[in-house]
Amino acid sequence: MMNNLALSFRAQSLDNQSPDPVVANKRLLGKEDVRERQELAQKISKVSLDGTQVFSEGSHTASLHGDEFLLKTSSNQLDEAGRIAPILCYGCVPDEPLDSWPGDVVEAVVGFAERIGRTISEDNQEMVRLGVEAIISAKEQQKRRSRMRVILILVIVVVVLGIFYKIFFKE
Amino acid sequence: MAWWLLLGLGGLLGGALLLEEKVKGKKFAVLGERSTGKTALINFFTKGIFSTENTQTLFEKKAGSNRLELKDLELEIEESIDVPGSEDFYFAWESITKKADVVLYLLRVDELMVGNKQTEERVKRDMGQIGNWMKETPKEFPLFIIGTHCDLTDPDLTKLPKEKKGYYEDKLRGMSIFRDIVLRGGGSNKVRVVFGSLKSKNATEDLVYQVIYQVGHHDE
Repeated sequence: MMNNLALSFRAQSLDNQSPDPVVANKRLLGKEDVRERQELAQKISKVSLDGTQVFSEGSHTASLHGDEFLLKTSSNQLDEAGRIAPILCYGCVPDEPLDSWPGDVVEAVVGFAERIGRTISEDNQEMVRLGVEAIISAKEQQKRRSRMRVILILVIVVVVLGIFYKIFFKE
Repeated sequence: MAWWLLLGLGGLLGGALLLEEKVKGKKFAVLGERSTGKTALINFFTKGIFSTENTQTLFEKKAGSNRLELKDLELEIEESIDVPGSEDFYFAWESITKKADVVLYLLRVDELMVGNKQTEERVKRDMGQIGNWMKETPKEFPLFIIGTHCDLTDPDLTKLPKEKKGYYEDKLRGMSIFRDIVLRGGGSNKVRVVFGSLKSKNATEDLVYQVIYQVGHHDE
């Protein structure tokens, strides 16, 4: 069984003039889909500026902000200026990621690259997988910290109630 | 990609004092179409090194602070944010433009000189947007159009002697596209046009110095 993959993708056109290829809700957006394009750009900005980078290796990065994540990898193609042309993958981490999730994300990233006429090397695919694993690990840490906070608050409440009881109800 | 920085005051030498005082604490929004040389510029400002861009910029990035020594100036770069050059990121452009004291807009002179229609249309859209955002801002601030890639023009503007360079630059400013975008940006009282290249360390230094100098003397 696969996790429900609600992933979006973004790259920059290789000629740096045509509309940038963007996929949201599994649909390759056109130039006229301004609202959807900007919505995704805003989500990407939020993670890139407010999130935490949990993985960085060369030009490959992974960032996490709450449940939202952003992966950056490189395609084999260069743009007209001879620059590396990265591919971005944006999505939300499932509550309980299955063991297959990293592989599913890699497959989806490769699928986007192929859809826009690009390729991703085996090495870079491995980097994507490592990035997803780093995201899962960081998310688990977040959950643990969150659970610890709840336990701590409960302990404090119990202690305070105990003190109140001792002061007001016990002679 | 575009970027955003805050210039502070560093050490000074002689006549640079007044210029540095005038640019001290100013927030610069640097905007521009994709592949206009903005990453090279931000690397120069924030790392103090010359570098050629080797990766497209796809999302907003925070860049570090730096003390930049430039000819007789020392500039303190306190904060900066890169924003991509895609129109999808106009919301980010708007945000930094409205917080800026100076807007720098980079464009490719070589593409405009050969009559690239896509570049012309894009530059017009950008300048229309920037002009509107500036109108919506209560304070008055200058807009600099920075023509880059002048080393790729015919003739190579960066290799011309000073007087010939001035002649060609005036000719460029007289092109209908430049007159059009200056108008869209708020008119010649508000908009200045400078030309240069980010091809080498010296060329980058010359261009940045030219911009800083013009910012310092904008009100005169």
